[in-house]
Amino acid sequence: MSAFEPFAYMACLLFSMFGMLMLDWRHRLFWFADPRRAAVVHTAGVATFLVWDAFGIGFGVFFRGETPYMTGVQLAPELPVEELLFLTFLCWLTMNVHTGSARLLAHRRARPAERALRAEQGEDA
Amino acid sequence: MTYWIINAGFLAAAAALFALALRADRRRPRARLSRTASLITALVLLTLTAVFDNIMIAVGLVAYGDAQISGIRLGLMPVEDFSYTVFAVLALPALWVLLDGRRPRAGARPGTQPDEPRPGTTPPEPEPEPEAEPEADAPPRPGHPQLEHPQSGPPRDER
Repeated sequence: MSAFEPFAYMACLLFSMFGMLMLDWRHRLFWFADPRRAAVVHTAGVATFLVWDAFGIGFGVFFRGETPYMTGVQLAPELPVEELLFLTFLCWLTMNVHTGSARLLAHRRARPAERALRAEQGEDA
Repeated sequence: MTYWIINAGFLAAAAALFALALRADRRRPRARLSRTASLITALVLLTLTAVFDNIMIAVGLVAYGDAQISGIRLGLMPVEDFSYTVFAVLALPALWVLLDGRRPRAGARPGTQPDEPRPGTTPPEPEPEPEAEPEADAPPRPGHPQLEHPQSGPPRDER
């Protein structure tokens, strides 16, 4: 099993990303709602976070830890490739939760009025 | 303090973007930024951050320079780490909404934006599925209610 240890974190991240993909696809939340807007928002978010990371790494705020659970592949000094996956996941999660919440809220607000309207028009609720 | 100083710049940008999106709502009533959704998103994301950042630090995935952080930690995680989450919650939905250039027109896809219906207006079609968006000034998609809700009876007239 220890041959798989370096991939443990990446596996968790890929699993989580798959979850985001499924939620997005099933409910048309982000990429499956508007791919062009999603492309801009997602890449802008990840790019900003990477710049933020660069500042943090540059000033010695944080660095890659000592762990057997990462592949060791780095995009830049102290910047593991897993971080890129994590930031992608973070942005996707935020947008999925936000759009999902907003839609649920809109539904709950619409329903009583919509029921009244339908009743008014003589239809079954 | 270094970490806080770096974070402050990004957080200020996020707050500005958020404020811009809220102010632009007046011109864009059909694609409003839902502040309640932002609050819910913040609560969910901050909770997840607190849990998983601690796990990641405990497992050794990331380490911090003691001289650069305030030293205030929630468990193992420096509280400054919440800044990334706050940035995402403020800036990303704001940008998403600001980029929404769609105008009311026939055939506009429902379920593509975090709309809040205006008081007094109702969606023309009942669509309990979360993906359906109440778009008060767009005609319903033809055929959709029958596909999704075969029990809702004869189709309503298009408005």
